[in-house]
Amino acid sequence: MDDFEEFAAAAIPGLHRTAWLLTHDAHRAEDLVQETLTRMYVKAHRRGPRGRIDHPLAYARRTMLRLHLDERRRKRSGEIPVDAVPDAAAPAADLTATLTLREALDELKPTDRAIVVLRFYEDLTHAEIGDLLGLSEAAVRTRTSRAMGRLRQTAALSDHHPPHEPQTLARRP
Amino acid sequence: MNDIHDLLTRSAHEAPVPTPDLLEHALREGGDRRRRARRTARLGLAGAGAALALATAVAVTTPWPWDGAPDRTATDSQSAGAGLPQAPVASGEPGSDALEAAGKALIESPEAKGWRLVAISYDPEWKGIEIILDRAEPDPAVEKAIEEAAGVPVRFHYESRR
Repeated sequence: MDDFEEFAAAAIPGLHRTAWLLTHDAHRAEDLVQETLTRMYVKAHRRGPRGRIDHPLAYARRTMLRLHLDERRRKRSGEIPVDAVPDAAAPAADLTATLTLREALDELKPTDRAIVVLRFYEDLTHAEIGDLLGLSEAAVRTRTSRAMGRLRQTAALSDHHPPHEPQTLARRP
Repeated sequence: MNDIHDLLTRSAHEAPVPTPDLLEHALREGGDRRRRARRTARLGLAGAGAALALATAVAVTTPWPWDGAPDRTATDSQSAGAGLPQAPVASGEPGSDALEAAGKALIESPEAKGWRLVAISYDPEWKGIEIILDRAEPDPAVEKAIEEAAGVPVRFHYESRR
């Protein structure tokens, strides 16, 4: 990839926003993006086919997700949750709803959270998400439904039914 | 009704602006890693490389313990261990290619599986390599493979330390 620097400069804002949604931590989000680009740089400068990246943005997303989920797996056992200090730059229009969403997202398992972000922020299909995360399309659908069910239990999302998603969540007798 | 997409988008745009030098850091770190990877590849010492590098550094910075030991392959009258360099041989210096090739041949030789390298060094005056191996008996096939790979004369010394 000859124009790596150009690609990276253009991709940083989007990658950073996704990283933010995955972590809600400014430093970790930056670290994720930086490590992703570092690895891509090394890959892109390899000689021959090993240095070929056909779909740079998809590659970047995949790398960042793997980095994030691997880090979460490593930390899971020894992690002690603390109250997060919001380091938002500016208040959102609907602050309550966004803060509630943030808290609800933080409650999800890392993989489920990634699925929600990829599905409803990045607008990826279930198949694309499955490809990124190494899951079957059916597994992504199931986990999407389950995660949305949990999000809907929060006040901000209680009356939200996203389009194209099954409406059978937590309705079993 | 709050749409999940809208809420996520709002939340995403709350993200603090990334530091301006994020890209610069990534490029610099990427460059460093690339150089390190190339250096490792050049040495051909992935995996067992650390042990070899350590042994090399030890060999060229400490007195040879086997001065006067039987010199099995020397073709001249120089005694083993004479004229050793006093500093580690850095990549690109005379002898570094021969050392790398010899080390790689030793690591990759199936007959030398399980052998332990005690020290390896290049003698710039003699223009050859000295190798000490932690082993009681030589193996002609290994010696031949190392000599052919190194492309310079090689003296082998065997010290069984077990």
